[in-house]
Amino acid sequence: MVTTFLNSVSLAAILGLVAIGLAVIFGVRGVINLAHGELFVLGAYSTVWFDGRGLSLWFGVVAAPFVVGAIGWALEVTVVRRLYTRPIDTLVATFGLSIIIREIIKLSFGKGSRNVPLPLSGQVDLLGTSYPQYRLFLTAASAVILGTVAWLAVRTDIGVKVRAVIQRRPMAEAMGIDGRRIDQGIFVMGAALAGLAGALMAPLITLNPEVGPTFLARSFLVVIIGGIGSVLPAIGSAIVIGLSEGLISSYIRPVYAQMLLFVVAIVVLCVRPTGLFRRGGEPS
Amino acid sequence: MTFAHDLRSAGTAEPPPTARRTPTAAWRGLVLLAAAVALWLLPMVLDTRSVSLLSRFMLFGLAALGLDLLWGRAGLLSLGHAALFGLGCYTSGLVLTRTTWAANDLVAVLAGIAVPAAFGFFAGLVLFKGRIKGVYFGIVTLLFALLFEQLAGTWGSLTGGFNGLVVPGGITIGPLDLEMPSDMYRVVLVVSILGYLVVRWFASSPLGRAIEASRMNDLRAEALGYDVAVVRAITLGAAGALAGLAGALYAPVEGFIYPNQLGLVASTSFIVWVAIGGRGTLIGAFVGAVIVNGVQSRLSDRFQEYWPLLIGCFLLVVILFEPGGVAGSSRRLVAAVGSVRSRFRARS
Repeated sequence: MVTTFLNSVSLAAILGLVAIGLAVIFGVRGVINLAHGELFVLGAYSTVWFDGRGLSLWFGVVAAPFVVGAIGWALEVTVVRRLYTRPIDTLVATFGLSIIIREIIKLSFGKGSRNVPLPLSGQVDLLGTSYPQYRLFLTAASAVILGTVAWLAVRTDIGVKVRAVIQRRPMAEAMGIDGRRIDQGIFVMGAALAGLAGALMAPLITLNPEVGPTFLARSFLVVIIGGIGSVLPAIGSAIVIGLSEGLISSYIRPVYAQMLLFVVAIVVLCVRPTGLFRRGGEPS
Repeated sequence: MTFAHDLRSAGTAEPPPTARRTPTAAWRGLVLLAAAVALWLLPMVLDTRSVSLLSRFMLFGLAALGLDLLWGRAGLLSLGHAALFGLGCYTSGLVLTRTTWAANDLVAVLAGIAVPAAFGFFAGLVLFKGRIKGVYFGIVTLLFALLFEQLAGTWGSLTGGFNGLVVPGGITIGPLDLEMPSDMYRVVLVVSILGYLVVRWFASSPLGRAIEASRMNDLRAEALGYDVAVVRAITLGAAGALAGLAGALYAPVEGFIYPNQLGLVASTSFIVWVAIGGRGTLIGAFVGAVIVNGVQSRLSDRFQEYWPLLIGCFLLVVILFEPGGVAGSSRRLVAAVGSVRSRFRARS
């Protein structure tokens, strides 16, 4: 029971990392990046790359946010920014991008599943059970990063600028905020976080080039339940989704657990389109 | 610009035709008729395998027509069209394999149409009454596709699970015995042409205009008295009926159904066909499906590995640089040739 709970917490933390980028990009420009799941997979494969060269996985974990962030920057500059005025076309274009990334991963790393070894293999005694060190590290690291992002969003003028652009872009730009830089910065940050989440998660899943969509779908649930465009609700709803998926899955089959969450998400979307944690219309 | 004007010019989804530049309706009809006759006679020269492949491609085209109605006309991009197609496949496949009613095969096809249509309509009613549209609709349909795929794989006692479901080949509908692939092909051909004509009629009917109005300005359509949610739900139901019809016939033609047919990758293919063919043009969706599949089936095995990559790039290029797809380019080409010719005439 304790193990299930702790596993759910670590899933929640990872979901938070993946979903933040998706949520904030949507808030800033109203576009959904369907290649977001593939950015997660790219991060995971960066550990595979280092592992294949006999180097420590930690290199992969450190490199992933930079590599995937750079890829995110390239995607924003070449494709996504041309389509900001056509949200539905962005959906199709990023769908195309997700196919391209997935196929490139298949061609360079092979189609099959891989097991990435755990960089920390010890166990710790925790709340009466022994729990894998690595999962504990993963939860702690994600929590620290999520905390940093939340601090950036709430307590710094970067966060204020982003919120200003989300609320009223023309006005924010008239006040001297460079909207283009915000768009780019947010996209790169979202990509980097997704890449980092992938690298951290790689040893715990059976990794193959096709796992992107499942993480994308979970992030969608997070974004729908949390409401779009802001950091704190996204983190909150990542915790809700992660915990409930983890706990429900221990009673019924994971597919039915996901289905249940999906139905809940649709109900939330119909009843409270701004998300569960939003009081007024303003993003926080 | 008045609203009535919006509606009138939207029905054709092309610039106001000038008589000299575009071929007249009579010519167009004649060309289509010739194409239909040629397609009817095709099994005489093709081998059985190609004929059966061509039936599959036309069924994909028929299903793609449903997506085009939804995406091109109603402005609702479904990322899970394969869920409706697969629902038709599984419904007809299950009736064909699990029951022994009289007129079983006809029931299978009818149920294969009815179940996805009803699902599309009622799910649409729930979603659209909840004001879900635009990218939200895309997300929800994507989740649908993923869930259906999972469900078909997990619910093994009904669907055969990830091993798939083997469906007996030749079916009999009324007096038609469709054991021979060429007979099946001709039925598929007739069904496709009829389906296309019905969709065209539907798209230009008052309801079709209302669908376009809901895309262009849903608030205004609402203010004019249309219940936009119901109009959209009907569109999704119609898309479900088309996809279901195609799926219901696809199951016996292919002889095998598996969960991937409901999933995200299959849904991607539908989007690719419609985008490449030219969204909103209806015929483009059909032609796009047949051409893309035809090209793919001609490729060598070695090249097959690079095909999805190529498709992804192609999709990106079409969306970025030629949102009208093949139909849009050919229309522009015709217009350009026409304008050059008329300029030439004016000089001489």
